[in-house]
Amino acid sequence: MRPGGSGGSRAACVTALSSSDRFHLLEVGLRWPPETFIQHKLRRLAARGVRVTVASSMPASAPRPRIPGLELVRMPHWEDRPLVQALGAAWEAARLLPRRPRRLRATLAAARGPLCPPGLRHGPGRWWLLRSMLSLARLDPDVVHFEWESAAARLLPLVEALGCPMAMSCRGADIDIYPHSPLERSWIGQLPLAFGTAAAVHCVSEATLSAAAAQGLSRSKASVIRPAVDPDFFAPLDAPAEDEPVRLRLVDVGWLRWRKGWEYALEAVAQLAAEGAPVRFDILGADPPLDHAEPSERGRIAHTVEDLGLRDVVHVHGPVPQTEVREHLRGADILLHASLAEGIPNVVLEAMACGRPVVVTESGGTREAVDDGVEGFVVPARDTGRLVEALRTLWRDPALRRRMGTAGRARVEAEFTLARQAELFRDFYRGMTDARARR
Amino acid sequence: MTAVAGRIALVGSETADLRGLREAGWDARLLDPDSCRRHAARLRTGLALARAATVSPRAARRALRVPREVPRVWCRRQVATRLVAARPQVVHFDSARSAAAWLPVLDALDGAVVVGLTAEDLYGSGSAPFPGCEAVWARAAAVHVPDRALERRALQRGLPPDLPRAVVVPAVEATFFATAEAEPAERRSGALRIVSADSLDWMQGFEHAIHAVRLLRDAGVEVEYTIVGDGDYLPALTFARHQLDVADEVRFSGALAPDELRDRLRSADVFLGASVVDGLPRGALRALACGTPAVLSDPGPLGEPGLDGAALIAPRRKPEALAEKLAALAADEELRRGMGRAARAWALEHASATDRRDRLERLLRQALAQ
Repeated sequence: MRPGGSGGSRAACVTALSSSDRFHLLEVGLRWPPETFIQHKLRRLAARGVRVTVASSMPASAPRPRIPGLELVRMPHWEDRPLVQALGAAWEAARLLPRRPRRLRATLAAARGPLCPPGLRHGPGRWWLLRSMLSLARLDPDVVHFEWESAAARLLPLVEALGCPMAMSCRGADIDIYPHSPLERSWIGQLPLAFGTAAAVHCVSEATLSAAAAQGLSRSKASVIRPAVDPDFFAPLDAPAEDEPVRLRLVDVGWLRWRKGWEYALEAVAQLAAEGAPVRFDILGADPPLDHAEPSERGRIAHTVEDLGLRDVVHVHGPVPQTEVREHLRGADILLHASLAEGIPNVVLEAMACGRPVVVTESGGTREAVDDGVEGFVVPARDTGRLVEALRTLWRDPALRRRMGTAGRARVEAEFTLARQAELFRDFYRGMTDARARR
Repeated sequence: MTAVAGRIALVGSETADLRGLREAGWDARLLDPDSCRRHAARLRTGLALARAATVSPRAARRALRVPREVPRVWCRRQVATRLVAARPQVVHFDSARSAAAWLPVLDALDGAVVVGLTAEDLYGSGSAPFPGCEAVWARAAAVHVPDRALERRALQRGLPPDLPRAVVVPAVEATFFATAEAEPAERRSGALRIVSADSLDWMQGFEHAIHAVRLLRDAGVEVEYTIVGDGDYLPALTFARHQLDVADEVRFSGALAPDELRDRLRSADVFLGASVVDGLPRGALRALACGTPAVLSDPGPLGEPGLDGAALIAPRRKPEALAEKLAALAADEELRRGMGRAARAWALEHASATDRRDRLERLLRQALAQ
C-alpha cells in the first residue's frame, strides 16, 4: 500500500458517512456479476452506507453478491417464453395486490402509459415489461439508476410506477454507435424521452456528453464523472522496466468485439514486426456475453494472426482475473489500444496507473485521459500507419517510455481515483435526493 | 425411360443444384430447414417420423435429437425425419458446419455424405475450422471447395489430404446474370458507381471498402457506393460510415431479390470486394457474370482459372491500395469496358451452372462408387 495513496480504505469511507448518504439506490438492468468498474462503484457506495439494490436478469446459477450491504433482485429474462412471462406477471401482481394495491394500479397504468416504448406495447415484449415492473414494484427506492442507455429506454415506465427520481448513465460507445444503426432504432428512438424523464444524467466523458446532447440530452441535466481505477492495486513494480528488453512487450485488454479495433492493432503489430522489432502482443479478453447480441471477434483475430504471420508474436489469453490483468500490464512495455468507439477505456487508466505508456486511438473521451505526447500517443482511429509510427518511437526510446509512464501514473493519481469518483457519485445522487426532499 | 443416377438429398442447397441434378437424371430432393413452414412443422414431423420409423427406427429416434437450435427446432426435426424416410444414397450439405449439426442422424444412415466447404466453415471460429470438423471429415465420402485458395487453406486447417475432393465453383447462374445485353453501362453522372454485394460479416472486409471510398473522395473522385446484403456487422458498418464521414457517399440497400441485385450489379461501374479471407466471394462472381469490372482484395492463390483481365487486385486490408485501383478505373472508361468484357467471359466459362453441375455430379458419382 502506498502511504497517502488516494485509493482510500473502507474504514475511511465509513468514517465519512453522513445521514444524507443513507438513501436507497436501485440499479436496474445490470448483468450479474456486473462489469468491474460498476462493481467498484457499488462497493464504494455500499461502504458509505448507501442501501444498494441491484435488479438483474441473471441466471439462477449466477454467484451471490460478495459486496456487504448490497441486495440482489432477480428480474425476468427477455428470452423467457410469452406464457412464462404472462404467468410470472400474474404471480407478481397477486403478491403485490394485498400489500400495495395502489402501487399495483400505478404499475399497470404506467405499463400502458406514454413512457412505454412502442415496441413493448404489444406482443411478447409487453409481458416481459409488465413482469419486470411488477417484480420491482414492491421496492421504495429514493433513486433509480439505469447504468446503460438501452435499459433506460426499455424500462422507462418503471420510473413512473415507482414515483422516484431517475438517473441514467451514458457510457460512450453505445451512444456513439447505435444511433447510426437501423437495427437499434427501437430503443434509440426512446432516448429523448428517457433524457427528458431523467432527473440527472451521468456521462463518462465530455465527448460522450456531446454525443448524448446530439440525441436530445439537455446539458443542464448532465454530469461528467469519468471512470476511475484503484491506484493502490494498479501500481508500478518497484523494479523499473529494462532499458533494452529482449522483446518489446505490447498488451491490450478488452472484450473481443469489433468496436475494439483488434484487426487494426494486429496490422500495426505486423508492420512493426516486419521492421525488425522483437515484438510480442498479449491480448486479454473474453467473448462478448450473449446479451450483447454481437458476434465474437475470436475467429477474426485468429484468422488475422495467421494471415499476417503473427503466430509466434500474438498470444490470446481469454478472460483473466484482475490480478493477472495487473501482472500483464506491469510486465508490458506499452499498452496498445486501437479501439474504434469508447467512453474512456478503463484499461488505459489501469495501464497508466501501472506506469506504462499508452498508444491509443482518438475515440470517445480518450483525449480527456491522455494528452498526446505526454502520457503516450493518441492517433486517429483506423490509422494503422500512425499506430506504427507511435509504437516505433516508443520502441526506440526507452527513456521516453519511462517518462510517459511516470506522467501517466501521476495523472491517474491526480484525476482518476476511485475515491474521487465515489465522492462525485455521492454528490450526484445527493443532488437528486435533496431536490426530492425539498419538494 | 432413363435410369435414375441415384437418390440424393440436398440439405440447405440452392434450387439451381436441385434443378441441375434432376436434369442429369438424379432422384434429387431438397431439404431446407430455413424454408420450412413453422406452424405445420410438428404435424409434418409426426407424419415423416411414422414413415422414417418403417425405414430405420434407430435413425428415426436420432432424427428427433438433432439439431436442437431454437427457434426453428421443429423445422429441423421435420427435415431430419424426412431425411431418414427418404433413404438417400448420397446426402449433400452446402456447408460443413451444417453437416456437423446433423451428424447424429447421419451416423444412423447408410448414404454417402458429400460436403461443400465454405469460407465461413474455415474462418468462423478461430484457428480450428469449426466444432465437430474432425467428425465431419471422418464421415464424409468427399468434399468440394469453391476455389484453389480455399482448398489450400482447408488443408492447412486439418482437411485430410486423402479425402476425395474437387473444386466446384459456385454457380452464379450465368444465364441469369450474364444476359446478352449486359454490355457495361455508360456512366450517366459524374459519380463513380461502386457496388458490393455479400453478407455483412467481418470476412468481407467492408470497413476497408468504406475507408477506400473515403480516400477516393479525399482524392477528388465523386463516388456513390452501395452495399447490398445484410448480416450481423451492420452496426459496425453504419458506424464506420459515420466515423469516416461518408454518409453522403455510402448507402446500405439491405438484401435484394435476384433481379434487383442483377440490375444493381449491371448498373454499377465497378464491383468492390475487400474480403480479408481466401477465395472469391460469391458477390464478385455475380458481378463478373454481369460484365462489371471488379476491384478485389487478394483472394489468395486461385490457381487456374486466374482472374487475368477481369479484376484489379489489391493487398488485403489496404484501403489506400483499393482506392488507387478504383481511381484508375474511374479515370479510364476504356479500361472498364475491356475488363467488363473479360469478366463476363470468365464467368461464363468458369462459373456457369452447367459447369458446376458437371463437376458436382462427377464428385457425387465418385462418392456413390465408394
